[in-house]
Amino acid sequence: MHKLSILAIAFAFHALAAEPCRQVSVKNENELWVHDGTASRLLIRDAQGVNLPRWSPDHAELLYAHDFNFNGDPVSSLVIVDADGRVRRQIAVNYDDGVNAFTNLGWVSRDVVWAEGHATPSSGVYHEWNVRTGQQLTEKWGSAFVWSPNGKLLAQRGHIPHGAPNDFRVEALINGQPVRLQDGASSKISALAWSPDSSTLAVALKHDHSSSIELVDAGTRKSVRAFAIPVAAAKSLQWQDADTIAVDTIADSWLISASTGKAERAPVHAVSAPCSSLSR
Amino acid sequence: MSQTVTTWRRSALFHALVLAAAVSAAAADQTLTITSFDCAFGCVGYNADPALSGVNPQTHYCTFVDPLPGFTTAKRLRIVREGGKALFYTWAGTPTVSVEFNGAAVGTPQTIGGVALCGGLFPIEFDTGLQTNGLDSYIYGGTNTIAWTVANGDLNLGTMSVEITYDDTPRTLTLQALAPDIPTGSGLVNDCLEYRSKLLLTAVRDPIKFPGISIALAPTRPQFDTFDQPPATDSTGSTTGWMFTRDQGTGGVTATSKGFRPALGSVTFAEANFESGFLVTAYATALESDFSGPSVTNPCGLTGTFNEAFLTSNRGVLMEGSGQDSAGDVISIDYAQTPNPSKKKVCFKIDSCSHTASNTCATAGRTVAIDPDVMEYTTIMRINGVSGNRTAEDTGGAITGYHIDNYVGAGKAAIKAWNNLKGAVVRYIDGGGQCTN
Repeated sequence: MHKLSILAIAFAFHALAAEPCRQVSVKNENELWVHDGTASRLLIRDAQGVNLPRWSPDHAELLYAHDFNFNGDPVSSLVIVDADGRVRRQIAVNYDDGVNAFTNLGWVSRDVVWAEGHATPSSGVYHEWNVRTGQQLTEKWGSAFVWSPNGKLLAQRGHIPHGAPNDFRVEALINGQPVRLQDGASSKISALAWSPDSSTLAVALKHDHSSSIELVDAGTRKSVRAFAIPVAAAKSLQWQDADTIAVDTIADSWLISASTGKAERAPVHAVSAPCSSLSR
Repeated sequence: MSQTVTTWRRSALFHALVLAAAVSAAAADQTLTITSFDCAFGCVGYNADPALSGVNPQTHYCTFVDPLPGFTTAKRLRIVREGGKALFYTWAGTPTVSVEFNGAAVGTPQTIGGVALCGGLFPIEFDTGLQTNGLDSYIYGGTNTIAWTVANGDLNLGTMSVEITYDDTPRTLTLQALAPDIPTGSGLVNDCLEYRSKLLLTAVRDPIKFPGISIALAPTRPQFDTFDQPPATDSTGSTTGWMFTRDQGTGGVTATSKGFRPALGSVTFAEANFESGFLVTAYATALESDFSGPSVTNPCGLTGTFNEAFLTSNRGVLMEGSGQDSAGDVISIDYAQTPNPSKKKVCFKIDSCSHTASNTCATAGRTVAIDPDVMEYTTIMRINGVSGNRTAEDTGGAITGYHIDNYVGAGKAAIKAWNNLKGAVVRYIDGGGQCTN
């Protein structure tokens, strides 16, 4: 059996098996539930909404975001609760933080959380806060922010002012520094994903009528491989293991071998929501 | 006496049916009696006698073509045949006889003890009983087979009659085509949206339900429309099929099944809801009057004094792409001078309006940004929770999948009037993505 077919079958079982972290889910848009094996318990019910819950690296706390309410200021909040559902910290998000919705959250470390917010159709704003003091630590502009699993490298799509011309060359960045891609000018970065060992950044590019993936070495920030993928537009990427990259489009999912570039249609929707413990 | 085991099913040579219809006593039920069959008749001996024929049991087949009026339902068979135990041979075992109708047993086997020579046969009757939902094994419009099996003895069998009780109301299929939607993940092919309509089918005539019925769907626009054919009907006589197309207009569908009156339906593919809910957020252009703090004089490309945050903050022109200054002019980034604008180096220009990706002027109450893999520019839509129609005019790399960004105008007040929507129903009204032939 072809190696990638074996991987596809293994992936299907992996997708059905429990992730290596405690599962959480949101019900009725305002209830945060924790699932331990077959037991489920309501951790907290928050009238201001529960969005994008993420475990801290040690599973001692959960981070989530309130709904946005533009009637007042702050317009939203980030909430940290402990494993018993007690609110430990609430971080105000103000209008002047420049975001109109949250697209992703995570933990940089045990004491620092991050949030990517939606600002325009083209770009967003990323912030970090110290959860112990509530202090905002940094602000970056761009989108598709993703931390490496080892917590040392932040990849992103560079900032695009809204309304930029079609030939505007957007860059992929690692820790604020541009990466060098093999691709020519006429493409757009559609998704980013780190390998499990944090050594390689996968960059999905959308061309005029096709798509490709480039693998960027984290140390040199240079592309070391590039290959076409049989999708019109990759919407998200996720490394399933050291050699398999899952690609989601609007319609279907694919598994791509990082070493050979061979593609196989995935049996189920391949890219899953991040387990918060992996987003440090 | 010859031993004839006839299997003249579907024979084209002996289809001489004599129909004698009789009005049934039961309301809505009619009866019809058949006396001629496609098999050997007269007094025939069947010798399931190991000592004589060596063949035990022996089976004799008689067939008839469905005589019922079109699309009616057979509910009962009373099968009567003259017979009697034969005594012509040395082994005088007591025969049993059983009947199957199209492979299904009718009643229980009977032991025939009475000796009857030809000329003195007596009636042997097998009855299916009244099956309210119709006889499952009956073959409508085709050839039905009655199998007589004799075992452990010698039996004479003579002429036969079959009385069929049937419900005279025609069996029909029903087809209900639900309003189409735009299925999740269907995207655009050759810039055309895909539509899908759920087709509810039944083979039911209360109280009779017809499970296990295969229904075939066929389009009237075969070059545009395709189907997911339905599985066989379930215990309620129901099943579901699907119709797909990327062509607007009206598509017809015919549902057929042997022995049922066909059903016709049609679906109009024009306005339709997207199956997937959408996240709907908002974006705005900057408004200088919203900002306070330091000013900058004659920034690159401009003449005059401007609020610095209006130009380069996270709510300013450098983020939003354009803004309206205190004088009412639209300020946007000059990419000719600064192809890679940043806080360190950005030049501006006076512009005619805030331009969208499709080169229209962004207009509050009309413009939305979309993912062009989901819908086309110029698509006119209605978003549940948003007043008035919206037109897909803008896009950006941060809008992926089922996400719409609604342009609300300039400044803080415009954003303040907005509430994000999760899972909003979006209805395609007109414009881009429509294909007609």
